[in-house]
Amino acid sequence: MYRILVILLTSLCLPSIGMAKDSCATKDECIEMRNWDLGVAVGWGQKTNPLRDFDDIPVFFIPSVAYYGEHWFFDNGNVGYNLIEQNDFSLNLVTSYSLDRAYFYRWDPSNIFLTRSTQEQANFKTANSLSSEPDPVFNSLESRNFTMLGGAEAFVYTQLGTIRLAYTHDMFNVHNGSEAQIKWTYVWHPNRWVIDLSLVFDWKSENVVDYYYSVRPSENAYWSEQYQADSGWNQGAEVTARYILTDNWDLLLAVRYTQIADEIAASPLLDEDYSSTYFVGAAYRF
Amino acid sequence: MAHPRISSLCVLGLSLSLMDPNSAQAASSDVSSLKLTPEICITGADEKACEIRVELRWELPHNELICILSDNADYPKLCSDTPEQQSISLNVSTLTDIHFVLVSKESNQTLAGAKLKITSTSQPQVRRRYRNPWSLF
Repeated sequence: MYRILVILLTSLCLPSIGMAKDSCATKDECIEMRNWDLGVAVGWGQKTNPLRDFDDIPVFFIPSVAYYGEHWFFDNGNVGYNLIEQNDFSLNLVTSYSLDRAYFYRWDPSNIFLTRSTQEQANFKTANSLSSEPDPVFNSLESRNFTMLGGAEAFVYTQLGTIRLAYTHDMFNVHNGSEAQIKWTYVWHPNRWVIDLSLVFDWKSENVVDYYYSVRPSENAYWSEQYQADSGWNQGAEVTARYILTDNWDLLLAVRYTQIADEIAASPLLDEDYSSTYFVGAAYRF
Repeated sequence: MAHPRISSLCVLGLSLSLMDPNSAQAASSDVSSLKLTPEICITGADEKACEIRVELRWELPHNELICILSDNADYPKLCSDTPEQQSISLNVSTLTDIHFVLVSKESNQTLAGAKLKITSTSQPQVRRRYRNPWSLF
């Protein structure tokens, strides 16, 4: 994780990166108003699943659906309303959905067009350990329901990149939790390349962590007592590189790494404290 | 009755340096430059052709006879009459962008270029997109 951060920060020191950037300076950062922007990326990739005994998720398609009006916008499942739009600052009301549920369910919005070979628990018994604790073997997991989060997001545009600050809260009383995000993104345009570098810090409230990652009594009575959820920060880095072939076709390489918060990784439902995703393919914009 | 093609709107004074970083060197004495004024002609929503009078002004390290060529067949080669001449004006009526090239009359070497861009108010409006379309987040 820290190696990735060092690489990203070091890359910022390259002189060609430190150029000034106007708002909506390039076609790639702009979108045509009052017109649906549709695209699909086809290729191969994989998303690791930190849940114990859940398979990793193959990625074959990444859809892109967006519509921007004068104030309202829809962007890949997120609905928003722009309150303030300036050259160096934006403020939006916005909805979002948690990525956590995607680890549990095939048809979570985060997994649309992703396929996984199976998500049924194998009730796989892990190797004998020297610990006196019982193995983390669970009965069928109870439902982790879908919910939408609503809140506000602010973007600050600087010559050294864009900073996103967001705070959202469960709108449908599913877990009554909140999430926050601090995200820094730098877009680099060397020749026909468009490279997005991002560092992300996602905060999840205790309610969110408890709802998705606590063990419920019906799942395992022992572990439901042992694990106590707490709020925590996930840390992530993402690189999306596109090579522009034509007005419609791009070659696409995307890599993402998320270091899961210690408070979440401590859940016996998890056996990995990270999730990584990569995708290589071609993207078409209609 | 007004001719519908007459009411083209023109944007004046857009500096070439905003569009092309190479032109930032034009002020230096050893670099040739060609400046077009205006650089952009905005046509109304119902008009098709842009009708405008443009000025082509050039700077050279040493005064010499030059010619200006374009990629539009309606505008044949224009050449300066004296080495001291530094500008030419012409009336343009066009549906598409025109690329002008400054060449040495003696050597025919290309010295500089400039582009008249035609745009329409009926072109779609764009705005900032808040999310990377291919983000894995």
